[in-house]
Amino acid sequence: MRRLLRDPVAVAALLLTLALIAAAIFAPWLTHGDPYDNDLGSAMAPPGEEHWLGADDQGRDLVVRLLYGLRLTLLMGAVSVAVGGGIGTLLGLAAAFYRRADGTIMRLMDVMLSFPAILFGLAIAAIFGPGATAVMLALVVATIPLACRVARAAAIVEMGRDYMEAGRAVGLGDGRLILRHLLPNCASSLLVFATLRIGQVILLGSALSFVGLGAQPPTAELGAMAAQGRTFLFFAPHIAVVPCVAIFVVVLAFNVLGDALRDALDPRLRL
Amino acid sequence: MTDLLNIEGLRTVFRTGSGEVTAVDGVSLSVARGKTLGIVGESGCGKSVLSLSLMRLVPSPGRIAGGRVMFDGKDLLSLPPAAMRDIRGRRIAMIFQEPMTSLNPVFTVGDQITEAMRAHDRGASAAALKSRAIAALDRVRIPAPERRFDEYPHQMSGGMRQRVMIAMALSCDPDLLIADEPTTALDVTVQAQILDLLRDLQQQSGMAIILITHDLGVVAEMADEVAVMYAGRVVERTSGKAIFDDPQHPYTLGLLGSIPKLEETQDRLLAIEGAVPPPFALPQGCRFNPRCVFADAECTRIDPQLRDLAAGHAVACLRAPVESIVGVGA
Repeated sequence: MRRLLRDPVAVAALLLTLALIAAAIFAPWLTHGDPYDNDLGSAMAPPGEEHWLGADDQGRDLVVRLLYGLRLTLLMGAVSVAVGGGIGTLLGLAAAFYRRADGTIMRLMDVMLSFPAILFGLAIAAIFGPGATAVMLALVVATIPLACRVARAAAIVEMGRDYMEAGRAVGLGDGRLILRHLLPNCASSLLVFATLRIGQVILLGSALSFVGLGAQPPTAELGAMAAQGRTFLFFAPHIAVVPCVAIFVVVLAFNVLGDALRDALDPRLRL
Repeated sequence: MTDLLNIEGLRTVFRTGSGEVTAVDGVSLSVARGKTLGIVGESGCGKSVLSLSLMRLVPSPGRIAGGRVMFDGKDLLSLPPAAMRDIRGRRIAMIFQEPMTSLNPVFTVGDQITEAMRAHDRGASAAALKSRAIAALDRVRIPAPERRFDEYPHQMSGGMRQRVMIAMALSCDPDLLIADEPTTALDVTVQAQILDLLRDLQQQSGMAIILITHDLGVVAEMADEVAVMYAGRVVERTSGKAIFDDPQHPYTLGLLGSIPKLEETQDRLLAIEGAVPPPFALPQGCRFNPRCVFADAECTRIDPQLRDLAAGHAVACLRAPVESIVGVGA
């Protein structure tokens, strides 16, 4: 952690990420508008005194929508990485621990990896109807095999260490060995993975929403907002540009933070 | 005899790309309560696989292919896995070569000792476990055990960590301790301390010790009985004293010859030529014959079995006793 704080870029990314998360969590208290409150009088108002970032085609304030959109987008990213990462991690640890199951689990992951997430999102949206849940489901499925691979790679290294054998020699059961000894020693790789993955997942989720498979209008979600604004790109570019810049900043923050975490936690990269 | 542990014809094989390979080939040994059995041999002769076989912890693709391991009247090889897990740690404990990596780096040593205890004593309260763990640390002569309890492995030296491993191994008062090269990774002065400690603990508790080592000095220090292993087999079995006074197998002689001596001037050490044959390319006849200075034509045809030369002294060599060969040669 101390190593992380020594790198100014990492500190900036960390602060930015925390600020974004805080803004998302406290959106209802930071703003006093309703993201669905339209005021056709100020429709497509450019950024100005009344609406700092302007208003969209329905006259909804973009600052308010942006914060609520951030809330939903971050939530979607965090939940799908947590769920997909959790399932993938357990599978990966199991694959490393029970070498017999390794082949089966990893081939299954290869199959999952060979489906593009967008295609999978399309399929899920076709079955359950488009919406935030469908997007999250697609993102979970897209995250499982990646997390599984990261966890398995880290766990196989740890399996070779003597403390695993020592744990077995004192009579610990498999569950304890996996959760108490294997998992914590793989945690740093998984933390780096999760941080980087949140950025990717947000991008992917926004893309799915942009093509209309995710959150439906009028929901405030960054991808959906960008899609809405596209129609008015020539008259009121700010409607599309504002959510796009927000996506860019969020993804950039998570990616830089992830990279910095990797530098700080991966001993192989230490100079 | 009422030995604590009786190994009979144990065979452990590994499945490889080019067929099955036998790492431990028909080993029979026994240890009595309160006694120490030393197992000596070069790298790759099957010592460690033997010890893992006793715990039924042979890593895949290895498996135990035959034999019996009678421990206190029960055959460990036919126990159900749950019963075996209960034996591990509680009745048979193990310490490893590398104290640097045998402790999990992310937990305090106290955590790890209490975890080992809890694995066999589910009902115990946290406070009781903690005081037992501190007593265990104190027993292995770790100064300020209350403070050490909350330390992480990286805050300790190698000798200290090996003490922690021993404390962990002894926390449940096992009947048998398997020590796989417990001092190899340590400084010489620390080695002596650890061996002293093991011997004192053995006297207090009456446990049996299987000491696996390639260091004959350690054997001299500790072992009541010695088994010399070569290429997966026991080639000589005798008392800890006779191995130095009256070695009979040419391989044992070779091992002894490759130790420098203080009182004699030697231009160079006698080294045994060559290396242990890989288990997939064992020579015909006696496994040691290509490296043996005494080998003759018969040795390349007949695979010698262990036979008793004297009471409690068994050798697997066609040409033993060694006096007969040396007598002819001189």
